[in-house]
Amino acid sequence: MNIRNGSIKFWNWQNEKMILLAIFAPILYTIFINLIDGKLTSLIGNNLTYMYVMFSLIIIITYGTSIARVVAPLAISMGATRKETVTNIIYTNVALFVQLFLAVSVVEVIMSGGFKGVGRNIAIVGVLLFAATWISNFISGVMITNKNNVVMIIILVSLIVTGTFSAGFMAAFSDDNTMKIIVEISPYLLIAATAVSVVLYICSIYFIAKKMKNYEVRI
Amino acid sequence: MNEILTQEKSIYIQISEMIENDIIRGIILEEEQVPSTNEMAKIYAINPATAAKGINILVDKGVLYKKRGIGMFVCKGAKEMIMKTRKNEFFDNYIKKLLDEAISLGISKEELIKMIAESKEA
Amino acid sequence: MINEELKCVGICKSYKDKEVLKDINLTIEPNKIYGMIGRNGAGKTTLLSIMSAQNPATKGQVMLGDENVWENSKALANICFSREFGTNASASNITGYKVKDYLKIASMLYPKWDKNMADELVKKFRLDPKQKIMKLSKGMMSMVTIIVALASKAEYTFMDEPVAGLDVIMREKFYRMLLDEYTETGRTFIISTHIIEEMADIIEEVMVIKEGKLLMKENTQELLERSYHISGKAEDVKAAVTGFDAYHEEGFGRSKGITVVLKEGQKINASGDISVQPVSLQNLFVALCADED
Repeated sequence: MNIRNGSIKFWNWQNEKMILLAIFAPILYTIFINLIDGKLTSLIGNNLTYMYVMFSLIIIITYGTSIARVVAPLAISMGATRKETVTNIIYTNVALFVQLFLAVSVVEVIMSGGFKGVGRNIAIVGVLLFAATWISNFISGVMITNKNNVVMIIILVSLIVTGTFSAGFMAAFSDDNTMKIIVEISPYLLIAATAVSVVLYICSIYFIAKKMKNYEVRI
Repeated sequence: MNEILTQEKSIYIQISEMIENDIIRGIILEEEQVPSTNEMAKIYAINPATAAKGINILVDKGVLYKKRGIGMFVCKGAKEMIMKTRKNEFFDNYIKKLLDEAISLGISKEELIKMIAESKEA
Repeated sequence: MINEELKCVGICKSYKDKEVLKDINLTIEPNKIYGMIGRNGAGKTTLLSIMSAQNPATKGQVMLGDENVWENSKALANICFSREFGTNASASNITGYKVKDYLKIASMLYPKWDKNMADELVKKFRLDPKQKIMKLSKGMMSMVTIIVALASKAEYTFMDEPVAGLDVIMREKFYRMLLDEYTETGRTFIISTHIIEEMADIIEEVMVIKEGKLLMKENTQELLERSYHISGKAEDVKAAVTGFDAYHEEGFGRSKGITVVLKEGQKINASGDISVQPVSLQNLFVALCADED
């Protein structure tokens, strides 16, 4: 039996736990918030979409920390190679991105009541999720050097970043003026952002690969 | 068998001696099967290679023989052979030590013989 | 890959200025139980880690047959290194898993994993599979590492302190489990342990690691047949041990005691008033590795 199959099975199992979290947490969180507010019906509208975006971003970025601390060392301690670990990280990036992107898109379509006009929002979400992906890779790469205080700083920074992101989002979506600006975002800008992200993504993978080259398992 | 292993002698020698003791005492009879190396390893919590070494000594001595596919059996005449060998080794294994100790304690040969003659054992 | 030798060729490992392993050369033959003994910090765990490619060597290679083990999926599919769970903060990343999840992960990563055996052992050890590893006692954590090692069914299985925290009855159970598995499958085991005397009869060969070097690697029984403790009057002892490798001289007043390991063909001349006694593996280890104050 090919061990390559084995380690992908493991990463997949870990990933799916995250996906489940990303799918159910926003719903539970929204219900929770609305229960506190008491206005169950009125806020569910737009909120759910950006709850999904927010949770997806947070999960992608914080999962990056657990890859370096937990998933990769565990796999290697049980016989996986560092090379296949990098491959599995790419697989994780793709799996998470695709599934979360689909989830958010579905929610957006449902919340908007149809496919009209959702294209731009979904494209923006796509760029954001992609950005979160390479950010999480860079975080993984830094944390792979086994320095625990750096870990703390990284976690703090990423939580602040995602916090700001989501706060900004909530503000943007609830303000009609800003909504207009977002609606006006030129497709060229989105394409440029995607291109830059692709470059940064490739860099992030190289970074991880370099850090993993002589990685020592210390568990 | 069922004795506890000590640290005084090599394990494999103890294994072979234990089997010999059982043969002398009639616990294992001639033409009967002795436990396999794996079984002995489990009984005594020792490495099978060590048990095998002990059994091989007895094969070399002509005490045990191998029946292919079945296991190790006690040779005919093994009991007599073992007793004979041990009788020959009796002087080296017991008497010599006895004499050395007697000498270091200043007991003369005559005193020693007197002790044996007057002893109530056997 | 199975029934091929696992070799360390010139393995050196250093961190910054500290040399942890110094030119280790050894050959692990298949179908044997090996013991690895050494003081804390001697380098046992580092060596096992390097032999299972969990740690890169600074110099040298680890070969399984004629293939280098480093980053080699095919070779690593036949190796399992089950190490002690740490208890510090960074170890909690791994010990945060529940027992059942940890074993599930092992089942995905070890190609020959025997689920029935793992389930049986969990029952036998009376572990609660839903419990997080960090919440287990030290002994129970060891049980988990034992389960992983045995159920992995890997041809080359290394265990680092597998009996830490186990009471004597559990330890004896483990030794029997190990022998059962070994006699049934012929897998190669390397057990690193501090409980030397209990394992002395079980390990076919013993490797002594001292200060990063392989001090000796010998058949256990044969080594013990050549090792003696000689004691008596100082001058007599001194005369008797000339020409032998002698270790750990002790004594007071007119008496002296010393441990010797004879080379092939050497014999002790038992003249004079000296006692020549056999030594246990533990005695020998202490003689070899105790600090000379």
